Amino acid sequence: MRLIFFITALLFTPLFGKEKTVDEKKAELLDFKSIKNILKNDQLEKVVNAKKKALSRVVKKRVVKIEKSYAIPSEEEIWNFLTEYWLVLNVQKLKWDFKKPDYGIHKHFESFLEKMSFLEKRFKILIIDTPLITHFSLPANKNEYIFLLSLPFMRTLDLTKQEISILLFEDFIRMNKGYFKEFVSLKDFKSHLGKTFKKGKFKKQDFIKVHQRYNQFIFKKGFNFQQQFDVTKEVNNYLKGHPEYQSIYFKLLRKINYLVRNKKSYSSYVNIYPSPELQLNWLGRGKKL
Amino acid sequence: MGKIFFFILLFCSCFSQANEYFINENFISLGQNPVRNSDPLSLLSCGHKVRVEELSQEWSLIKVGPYKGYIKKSFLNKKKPICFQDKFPKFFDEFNIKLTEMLYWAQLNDQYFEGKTK
Repeated sequence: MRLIFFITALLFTPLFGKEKTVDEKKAELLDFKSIKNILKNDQLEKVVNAKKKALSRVVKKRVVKIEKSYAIPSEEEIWNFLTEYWLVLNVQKLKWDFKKPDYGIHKHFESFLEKMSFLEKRFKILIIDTPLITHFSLPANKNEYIFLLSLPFMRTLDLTKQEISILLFEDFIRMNKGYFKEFVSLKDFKSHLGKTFKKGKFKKQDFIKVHQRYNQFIFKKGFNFQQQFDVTKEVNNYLKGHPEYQSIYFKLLRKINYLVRNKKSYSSYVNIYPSPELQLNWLGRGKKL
Repeated sequence: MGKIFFFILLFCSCFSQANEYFINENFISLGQNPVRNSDPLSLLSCGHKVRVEELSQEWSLIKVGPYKGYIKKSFLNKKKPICFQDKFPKFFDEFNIKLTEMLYWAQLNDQYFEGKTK
């Protein structure tokens, strides 16, 4: 009897034992924890991590590239762009767009600068067909210069190549002293240089104001007496080693002095470059007028 | 035969690359003649690849697209230069430089008398 009962219990226990529900069976199927160890041993986790790292590197690079595209030029890289753009915007006023022969001025000035021991300097001379600006040096990138030279001014004074070279040299010294850059570089403008800007937040006005300062300085304000004194003395110091150039410098100043005194169209010259007469006095050449 | 053909192809490709140069100024005019202020045929910008047909002391005859014309030799670089527009693209775009301004800029580069001390 007991044996029959035991066999029956053995046979029917699955029917009466705890049966798993459908959800429990599903959970068993979806239980990754049970196969996690198997996956780990297959090194799939490592592969996934490596791919995630590579993706984050690519995303970072892309972000950096996009940020770089919003870069603003630094102090060393901005000036050529600003000056040339100013020249383009003022083409009608400056009248530089006309056919002209090669006067050979640049070759002469090149060798003059080498004699004054200024090496590895690049420059561009732009001849303009207006007396509005007689001569001026505009800022460019590091060790680069842009010179404006008026054709009517050269013709009226009947300047030789040596005189022109010395005139350009004076402008070269003025640019090195940084007077012009200091005047046109407003605080807001300087604060942007070398940084990046956010999309839609570029303050173009701060750069347009620089061009307005260009106009103000070149056509109205000019250099002050102290600046003129410093430039005159420095030019004379360089020319002392070359007496023939020194005498040409004095002759040039006398020519300009005569012009500004006698020609009305050049009377405003002294507003920008005060004044040839004073320059001669500073150099001890005031009597020979 | 195959080897000979391969070397001829290699030589031709090297030769064609030897004639390829890049523009190194913001904007340049491709002129009809090898003189300053020559009538422009096309406007070229910095980084533009051109094929040089003749190279003299001052001027170069170049081919770009369907155009053949002259530019100053000093406007050419063998290697692609780092152009202002490429280095600061968004900054440059903010100024919305018009086509007429680009043309004048190209003419400005033609008008300069350039020098460089040793």
